[in-house]
Amino acid sequence: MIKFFFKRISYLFFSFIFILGGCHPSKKIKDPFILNIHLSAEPDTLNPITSTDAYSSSINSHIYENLVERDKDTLEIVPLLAERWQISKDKLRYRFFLKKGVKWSDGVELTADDIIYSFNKIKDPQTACAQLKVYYLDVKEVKKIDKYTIEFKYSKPYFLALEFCGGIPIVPKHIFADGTDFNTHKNNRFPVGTGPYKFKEWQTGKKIVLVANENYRGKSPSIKKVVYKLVSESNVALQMLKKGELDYMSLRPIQWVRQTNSDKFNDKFYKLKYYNPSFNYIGWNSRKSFFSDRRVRQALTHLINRKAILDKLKFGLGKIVTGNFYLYSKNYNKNINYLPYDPDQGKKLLEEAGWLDTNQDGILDKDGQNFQFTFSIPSSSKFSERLASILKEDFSKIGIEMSINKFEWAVFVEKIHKRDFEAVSLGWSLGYSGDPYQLWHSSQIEQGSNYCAFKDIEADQIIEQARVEFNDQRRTKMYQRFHEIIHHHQPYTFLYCSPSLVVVSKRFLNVKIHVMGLDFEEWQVAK
Amino acid sequence: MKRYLFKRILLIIPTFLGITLITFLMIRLAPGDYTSLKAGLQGELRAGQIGQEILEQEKKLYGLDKPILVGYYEWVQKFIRLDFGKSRKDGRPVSTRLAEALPITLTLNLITLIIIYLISIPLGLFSAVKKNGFFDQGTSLLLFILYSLPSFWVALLLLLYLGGGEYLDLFPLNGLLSDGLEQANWWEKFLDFSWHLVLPVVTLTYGGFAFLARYTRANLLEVIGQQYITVARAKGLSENKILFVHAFRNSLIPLITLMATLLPALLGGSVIVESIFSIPGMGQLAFEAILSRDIPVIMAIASISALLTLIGILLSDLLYALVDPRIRLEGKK
Amino acid sequence: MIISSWSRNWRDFKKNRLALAGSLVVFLLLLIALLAPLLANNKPYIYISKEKTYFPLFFDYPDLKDKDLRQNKYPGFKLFPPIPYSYSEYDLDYIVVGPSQKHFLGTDEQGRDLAARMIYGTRVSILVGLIAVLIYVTLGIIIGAIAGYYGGVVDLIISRLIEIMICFPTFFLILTVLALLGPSLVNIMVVIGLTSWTGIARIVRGEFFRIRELDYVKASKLSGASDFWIILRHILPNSLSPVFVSATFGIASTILIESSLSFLGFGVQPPTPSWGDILSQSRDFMDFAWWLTLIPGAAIFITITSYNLVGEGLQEAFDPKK
Repeated sequence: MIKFFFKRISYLFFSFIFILGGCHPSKKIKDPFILNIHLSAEPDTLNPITSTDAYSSSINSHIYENLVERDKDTLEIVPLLAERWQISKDKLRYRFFLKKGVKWSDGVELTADDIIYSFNKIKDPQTACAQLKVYYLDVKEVKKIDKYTIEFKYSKPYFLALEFCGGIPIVPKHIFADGTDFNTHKNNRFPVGTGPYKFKEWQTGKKIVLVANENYRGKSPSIKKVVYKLVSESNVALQMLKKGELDYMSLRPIQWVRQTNSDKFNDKFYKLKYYNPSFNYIGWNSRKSFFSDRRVRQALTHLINRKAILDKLKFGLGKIVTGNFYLYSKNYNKNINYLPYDPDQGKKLLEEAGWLDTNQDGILDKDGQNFQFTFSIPSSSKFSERLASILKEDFSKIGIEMSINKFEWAVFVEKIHKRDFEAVSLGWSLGYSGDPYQLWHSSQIEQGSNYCAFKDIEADQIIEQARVEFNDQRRTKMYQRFHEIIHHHQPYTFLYCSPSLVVVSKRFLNVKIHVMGLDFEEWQVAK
Repeated sequence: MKRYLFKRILLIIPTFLGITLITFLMIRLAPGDYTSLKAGLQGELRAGQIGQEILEQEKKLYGLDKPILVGYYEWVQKFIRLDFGKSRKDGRPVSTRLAEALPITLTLNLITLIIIYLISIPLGLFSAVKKNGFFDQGTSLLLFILYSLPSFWVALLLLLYLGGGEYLDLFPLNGLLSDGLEQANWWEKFLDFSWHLVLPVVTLTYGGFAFLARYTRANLLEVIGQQYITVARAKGLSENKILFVHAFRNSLIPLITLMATLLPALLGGSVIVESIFSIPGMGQLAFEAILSRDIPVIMAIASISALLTLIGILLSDLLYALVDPRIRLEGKK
Repeated sequence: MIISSWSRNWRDFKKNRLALAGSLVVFLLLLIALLAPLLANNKPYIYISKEKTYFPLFFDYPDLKDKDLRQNKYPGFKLFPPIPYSYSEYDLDYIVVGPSQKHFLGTDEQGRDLAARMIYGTRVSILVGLIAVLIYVTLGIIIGAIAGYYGGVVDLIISRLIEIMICFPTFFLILTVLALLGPSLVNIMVVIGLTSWTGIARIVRGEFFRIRELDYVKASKLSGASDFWIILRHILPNSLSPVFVSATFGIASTILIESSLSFLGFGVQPPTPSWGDILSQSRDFMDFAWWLTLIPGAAIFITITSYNLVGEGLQEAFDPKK
């Protein structure tokens, strides 16, 4: 009896599975005017003022607009929502004249009120936007001159003032000023903007959809619908790309080199590469005894074979950098060559600094203290883990004992804030214009971003003078000198500027690489 | 009996408070909090980092500057009013986020449970009847092997080899519903949904057969050995009738009591399975909440799960005592 | 009385061929874990050059410092361990390369030899398995014994404690505590140990309730023996058989938990190799680097199966219903 049931049930079960496996819904003919983009993590919110992650800014860049924008190739500031501006002689007042008739996607017109509202929200202590408040600390007030004119007033001159107030995130007052809490407003998940695309829907954990904005004042883009698909597994995303379920994604170096090389792949996809203003580095906490001596830091840089790691581990995809400015900007001093891999020179410098193996135990020591330190890395970075393991091996051959501490991101960030680290592996994602103040000025050592306690009088002076230097050429010279100073002191061992490795389906034409990367708003759908 | 019941229900309250207090303590004491997460993207920091006073301002916004016990007290107050607060991540009410993730996990777990029961029980019964035969030993070995396979490995292999891309393309790679099917009718959606569920369900079920099948087999064997079965045989009843009417039913009773403790397990998602198959369920929700120190979400999940477990244990104890009068409810004679 | 029942159980156990096979594998794994530095090392056991005989693997020689004796420029007789690589040495020219003559099981993303890392990974698994289980078995026995022996209010409180522990979803409790303490091998062992004792406690408590009522215990009490003595000498030894069984299964599940934790990124610190960690690292190249997925997964599977087989065998051997 039981046998009878059992057989029946198992037949039913397996046939069900087979049916499912075989006759799954047939591949529907896809709408060619849809672009499927890979999203590897879900943004917290789409409110441009409170959001902090890059995914959010990337999506918002197609929905929201600012007063100005940056030209994709020349990196110059050009008008966007403001048709022109005036800067006072004392460089303290910035007056913007808005374009007339610009509409939010719900039809309401954009006016100066929206900008005043946005600015007040940023300054409001109740708004959770600490990372943004920093940029507007020096803005004393924002005045409405008339319906289409506003004026920012700075308390002191600053060469980036135009960029900062021109780039202020603008949210629609008529939507947000309804009495509900700004930080948790329902339109944080339903953004309304003035850009070429408008928000359609957000299925949590699955996708975010944008469609072309019919109220857009400019030319309607060829791509009518953009779907950001959330796939956290990078390998799964690559499979989806190959199957045609994704059209646009970023690859890791190993995927670029080993998994996307077939002819079949190259027939269907473009492979494009461009460099962002970001770099990774090893930060030496100069408060700690080991790293307070410049010679030790230089020695350590000599002991790291950056070229070999770049060539083999990153398959040559990247460039070794020596300073914090954007590699392709004028500020980057191209005359500075990176310290080459030279273990002998490294040993010599360490000896000069007093580190010798006096007790023959294989570890360098000085004044009775062994050269032992911990290297803190975030658990989310695979590259950091590779780097750390390699460094541990290499350093131990010289007589330096390095142990690795891997922390989850929340803990890692807190340790940085508390300056609780000896050496750290991190990256900076900077803007294109790069004012070094926040990272390198000595006033930022205790509580700002100058975690490694870098201090140099001349560097401080240059930073301060550059902030008020409005002549680009003079400022560039100052920054190049600054770059020399940083290189001399080696507060970081700068590593690489890594390119974005992007793959785009050949379903689209006019896919151009600009200095700032790709812009799907200009792509055309192939017939 | 009633007094015992009352006493147990009353005891749930301090236990529950104890659990939630400990959870709250651990999260507050853990290094890192949500404000430092706003400092930047994973792996890279944005320049223009936060000054200390601005960070303090943010801390006040999230109530993290209050001492731990005060924070806990406030949480309890809100909890009593069934207000779970707002998630730190996106500001939406925690109940909304739970409402998104719960049905998915619930569905997955229910299907898993049903399949495990449907397969294990007949297997166990059959093994008991044909004790030590080829079927018994073979099944035993097979289930044993299945039980020992690590689930994340199996999930990865299933996805790789059956999930399309490079090898066989039998099943979808991720998620729960294919694109472009929003307009499809009910039946198509159902089929598509089932199709997406196959790989995750297989991963979740294969390990569960062993225990239940073994348990069923042992129970049936014990029942068969009982005196009343011998009596029934002596009376001349057919073997089948004996099995079905007497043995079968009696051996199922312990399984029912087992079900009661499964109540909270239904709500727990497997982080590993969910992350590999990109299923936005309770496992992912909880894991992500811990990583980002999203206190309201963590507390909501912990408290609901604790409450259900406590109720489940109570139910299970009661059912067991009800069913088997030999068991005493208290610890000593 | 106690001794003879154990030897009977041992005889029963031996009859079970699968359990024996499992024990053999467990023994082998223990051996590998112990002998790891002798099995995978970039120094030879013995090196006979023209001038001198060295034993580089066992001793440090100043004149051999920093010399890679695998190279041909050091002539002489050299005997290397079966895997002539250390688990942390990397080779950037052999990144993610499949099994070959040079690297028996292939290499990982840094060019580290997989076989060497697998061998050392055994240490992590065995260590975590044994120590975590030791911790929680000890805890469980103590708590269960106290609850089971004294009953009443003591039992009430302890049962509530057990309930509280059960109510925490174990995995998330572990994750939360690791977030608090920081991931490291020691912390993982301790955390698993501190969160998994409830099962043992309940078993021991149950056993104590049962044995406590038996005549010989009552007799012992009447004759004035102290509680401690009764627990230790009379009740405890007879209640241990289900504990053994549970502990053995526990080792298997602990190894699984550690692998899962490593897989999620909460495991050991680099460069310590752990099978779960190796598996996790391989996710990105699963479609062409099959060795990085298949081999660690198989190792975890075989280890768990073996422990489970032993547990099964013990369970059958100790079965009071025989």
